[in-house]
Amino acid sequence: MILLLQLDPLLNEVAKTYRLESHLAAVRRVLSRRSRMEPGHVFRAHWKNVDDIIEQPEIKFRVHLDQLLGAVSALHIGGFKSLLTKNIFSGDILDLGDVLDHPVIRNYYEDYYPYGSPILARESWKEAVPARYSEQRAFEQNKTEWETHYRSFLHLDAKFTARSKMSDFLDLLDDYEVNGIWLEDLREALTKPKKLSHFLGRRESMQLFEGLDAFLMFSRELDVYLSKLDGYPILKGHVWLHFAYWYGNGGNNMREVIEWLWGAIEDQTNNKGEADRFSKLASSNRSCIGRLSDPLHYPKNLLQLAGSSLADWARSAGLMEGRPELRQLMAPLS
Amino acid sequence: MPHSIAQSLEWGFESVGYFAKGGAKRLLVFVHGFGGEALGTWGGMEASLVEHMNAASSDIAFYGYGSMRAQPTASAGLLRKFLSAAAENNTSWRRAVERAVPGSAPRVYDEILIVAHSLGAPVARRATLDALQAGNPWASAVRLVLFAPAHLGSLLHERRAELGVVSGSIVGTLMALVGLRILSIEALKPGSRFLTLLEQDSRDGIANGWVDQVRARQVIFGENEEIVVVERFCEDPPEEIWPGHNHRSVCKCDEAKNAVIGHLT
Repeated sequence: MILLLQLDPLLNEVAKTYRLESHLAAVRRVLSRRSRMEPGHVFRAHWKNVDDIIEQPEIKFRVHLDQLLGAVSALHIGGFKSLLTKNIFSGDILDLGDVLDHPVIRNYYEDYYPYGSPILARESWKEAVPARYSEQRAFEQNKTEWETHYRSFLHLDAKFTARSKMSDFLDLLDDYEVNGIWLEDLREALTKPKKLSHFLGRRESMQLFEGLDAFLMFSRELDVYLSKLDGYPILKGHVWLHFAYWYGNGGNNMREVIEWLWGAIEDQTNNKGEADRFSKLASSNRSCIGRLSDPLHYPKNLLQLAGSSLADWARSAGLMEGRPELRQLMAPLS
Repeated sequence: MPHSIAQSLEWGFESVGYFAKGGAKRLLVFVHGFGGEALGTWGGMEASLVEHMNAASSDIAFYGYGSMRAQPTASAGLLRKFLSAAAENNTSWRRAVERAVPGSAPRVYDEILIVAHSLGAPVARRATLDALQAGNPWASAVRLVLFAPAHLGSLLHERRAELGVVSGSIVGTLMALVGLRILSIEALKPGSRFLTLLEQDSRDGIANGWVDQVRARQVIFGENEEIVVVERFCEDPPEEIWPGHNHRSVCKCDEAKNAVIGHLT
């Protein structure tokens, strides 16, 4: 219970809903000096070795870590400023700040699977973020509609984390094999008309398509939500950052998937008139993913104000490639 | 705020719940239609409800299911499973309630109000009828409010390729173009076995005294309805027609929010 004592009622609810304590306890078990598990192995980068297979119970602890990082992000967006109950534990039991600062954990979310939200949260808690970022954040949180918008973010996130057909598709996007299928197989099926029917006729691949559909629908909702936050650039940027693993880091993959999908539809239509009917649908999906995957769109103000804290993440996530203006935006002010 | 923050639910797909902090006498369940999603179909209804005092004693669930490929009877079976879990306050539901509102008293719902759109309407009605036939005690508490219900069939079987455009699903478009069977559309062809049985069982249910449960409380269509057949089903009340709305907008507008809130007094 110690983590929750100092939170306001709303953030207390968030911490309980996101099961912060149980995820933290699970990750602590791996990091503990008494643990039989080697933390660097459990939380390794699976993509470094093409033959690497992550087995249970490693998967279990990695899921706990992913959900802990998501909880940290949600709390940070909600205004969680600092861990006021540090050092309650003695011995080798670690608190949240120590867990986030642990070198093995930092490698996980800074290098292996770049995720900007916990970086920003950690730096905020250490008061190592630019003052202009903190000031703008505090200004927005005092505005009347801020809590309504924050709760709307929580609605979206609850949907994203619920049991969903999206999860298999997202694993595929993340370069995991799903039921014997890789992202390359999806590309093959969508870019070669003769393979498509067979691919769609298989239960496993159809499930991936349903997951893709669910992800596109979620993306449209997120796009609409973010487009309405003009007076809240920090909140807008925070929420974008929360989902940025899929749209920022994974943005290139998603843009490619949309193009494959649209190409497949064009291949299947009999004439230009029919294709035109669907072009509006394809165009709206393209624009939506385009906006969400552009770090210079929704998160621009956040990246400018918090730039120095997130510059390394932006580089690791590949966001700066081909975007000199982003590099410039995030450069520290002299 | 009278409700908890949004909670992911383990039933269906992308289902989200909001639990009343001061206890709940009603379970309010939203069921979407073709290709719709648990929250998106209802255009931000949740934000209106969780702040409204009329909803303060209602637990709210936006239930999601595989509307594109699954047969409606199967979807109804899964919906019934969810309703049973909630209404019977089983272990999983108690756990969900406790996580959202710690220390809360066990839920006993006097009413289960199902608000359904399009395909969701026959799915909800099938689930209700099956629960009544199975003797589930909670079934007597069910009431229905329906937006653009597909009870008498949809026109999509004639316009399969439009499914993607109608539902906003680019994958639905591809499925239709490739010629894949879309079981939910086949089941909603006017005169289908699914719809015929639905009407027959509804009439039987009413004859057996299940009037309040089987007869919808309110039925609403948009003036520009273009996807489902606009006709009176069984002994439902005469439908209301809302000017300026179509199949998708009729359940997203402010009038829809007001209509739902009106049933929560």
